[in-house]
Amino acid sequence: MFSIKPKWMALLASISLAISPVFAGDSGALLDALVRKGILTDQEAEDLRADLSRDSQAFVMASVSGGKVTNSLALSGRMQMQYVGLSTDQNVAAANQFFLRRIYFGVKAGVGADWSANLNYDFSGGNFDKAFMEWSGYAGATPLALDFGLRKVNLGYEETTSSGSLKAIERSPVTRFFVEPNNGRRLGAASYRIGVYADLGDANARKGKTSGFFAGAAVTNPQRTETFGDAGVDGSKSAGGAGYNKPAYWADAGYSSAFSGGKLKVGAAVGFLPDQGGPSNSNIGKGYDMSVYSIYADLTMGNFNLAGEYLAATVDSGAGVGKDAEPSGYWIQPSFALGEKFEFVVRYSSVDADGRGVKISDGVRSSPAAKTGQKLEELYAGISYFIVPNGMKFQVGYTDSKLSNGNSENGSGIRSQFQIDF
Amino acid sequence: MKKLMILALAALAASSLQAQKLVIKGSDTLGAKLVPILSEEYKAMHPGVSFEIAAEGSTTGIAAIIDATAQIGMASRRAKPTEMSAAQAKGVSMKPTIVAFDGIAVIVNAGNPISELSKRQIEQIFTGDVTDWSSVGGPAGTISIYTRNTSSGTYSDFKDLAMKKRDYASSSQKMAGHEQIVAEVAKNPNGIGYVGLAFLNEPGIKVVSIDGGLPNKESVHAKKYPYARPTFFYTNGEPQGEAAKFIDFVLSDEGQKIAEAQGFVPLR
Repeated sequence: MFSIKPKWMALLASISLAISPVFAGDSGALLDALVRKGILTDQEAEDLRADLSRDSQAFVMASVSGGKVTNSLALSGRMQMQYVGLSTDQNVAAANQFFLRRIYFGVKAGVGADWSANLNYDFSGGNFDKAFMEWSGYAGATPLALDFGLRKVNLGYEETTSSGSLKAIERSPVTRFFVEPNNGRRLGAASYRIGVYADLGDANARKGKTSGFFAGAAVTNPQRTETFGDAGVDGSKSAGGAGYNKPAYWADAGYSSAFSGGKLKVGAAVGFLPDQGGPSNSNIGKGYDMSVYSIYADLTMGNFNLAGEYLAATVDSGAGVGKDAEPSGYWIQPSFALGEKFEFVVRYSSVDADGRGVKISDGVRSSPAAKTGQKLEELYAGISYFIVPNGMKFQVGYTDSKLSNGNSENGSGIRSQFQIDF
Repeated sequence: MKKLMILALAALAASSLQAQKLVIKGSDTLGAKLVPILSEEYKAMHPGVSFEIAAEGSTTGIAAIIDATAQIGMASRRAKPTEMSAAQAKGVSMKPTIVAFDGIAVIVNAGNPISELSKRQIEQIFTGDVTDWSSVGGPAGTISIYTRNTSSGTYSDFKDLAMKKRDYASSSQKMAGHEQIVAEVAKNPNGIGYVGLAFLNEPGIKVVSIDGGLPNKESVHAKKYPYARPTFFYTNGEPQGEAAKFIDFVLSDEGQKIAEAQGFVPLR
């Protein structure tokens, strides 16, 4: 153990005083200066650094932690303000307003050697974006993370892309039709769930930052159940009720490859949601099952990127009792970065509801809509201006949507967003 | 016969007790060349000692000390606060011993006319802000970036020293070791990468000066080369037993001469 000599004791005391409100890492410049002046040897400075790091950990634990074994605490946040000017050619009120799309505040706390707690709350939507406990370790030599709680399932490439990284501001109509809550037309077939998750492989490969295979599996509640409390005496506060008692099963796999001048990521995912089918959301729990599938690819070559995804589902009695529906859709999105400040993007998406019905508002967020058809297409073209790369950006784009096959309706308008990550 | 067998077993047990095995894990910077050579020299002086050396990155070395699966953890970076606290949670006291200094040299293909870059340009290249050699005074061509993988101490050291802790360019290719980086840069005219000083004596590459300075013994000792760093042996508390003796050997004049001969900058 390090024994404190008088010279060191004085140094330790002065450095501790200087850094007490912050972390030991900030004392590095002072220690470096002392080495340069010949007051400390490199080894003495290193021993001091190690001791200060241990002391600062104790300081963090004592000062900001409710738990005695908390060893790290990271705070994060995101604010997004949007303006939409959207209308359709039908007699329905247009949307012309500003609103706060997201106000995220997140905390990640390391607990012990392998565990962490992750929270992210959206003050704008009034719900959690994530709330789970995570164990990180290895299965043999392969990284493994086990999550327990609320997060997104690994289905839907655009859906699992961070909201702060969406090039077209909002997710495509096909993604929204498949994953957003079941309203009798939309499927509610992915996104947030409470459950147990296993992610295998390098997390950076899943993020497309390094080469490697990744895979995941999960068992979750079949829908996002907003109630975090217990069932209550009469079951009225149940996290979903009888229609939500059969768990859903999820699996995905993919591969990321970085090569000279670019990178490629491909993957596929599947989900099985018992009892979640039927012709409307009032038929949940009546024995109609639903399965959903996704394949995707994302290619970057220099400043050019091309991403796309195909989604499909089979919904028992999805188009009426005894009449199954097989909705499908795809989106494709080329983009081009001009230096580090600008990025241009175009996205085309198409949804075929296969008898289940779809409205423009099911796919284009905040859009008004009057009619229900079977096919929804959208073309978005926009630009991102990175005011502070990776920290602050402004996006604006034009959206043109078309409903057909059954009823016709055309929508269009402007969407813009200002975002800060911190 | 029975007594003979007992004697034989006793002799076997005694010999196995005498045979000391040092398990050393971690940094590829240290473990690819230097530590195996040091261990051979040490074994020649201490015939009863054997070594198990695994060079898979500094992160694995520090984890091995925390998990008590090695007596010495090699690292080309300092233990992170999260690793220090993880060690504390397991009752492990991380003790760093500086064994040599190193400079992270930026290398390009030998045919690349670029021979000098600024610290700002290095940051721009490795973060992806600049993607073409023509933006930094070279001929047109998409820059191919080769880095170590995420378990490497050099990977995180370079991020801290040269990139203001920003993320690497998403197009960067992550290599398992320094030798692979040298090999890729040597065959790619548009390649750029970084390696420890011990890996520079290979054909097909050249070292780029940073703001006019090259990494060498003098610039590293004088703390003038911007990407210089100490390299470490981590132990659980003060080193004990054979590990302490081996570390003493590494720190001795003889050990430091070997380090210098392998391209490292000696402590003295």
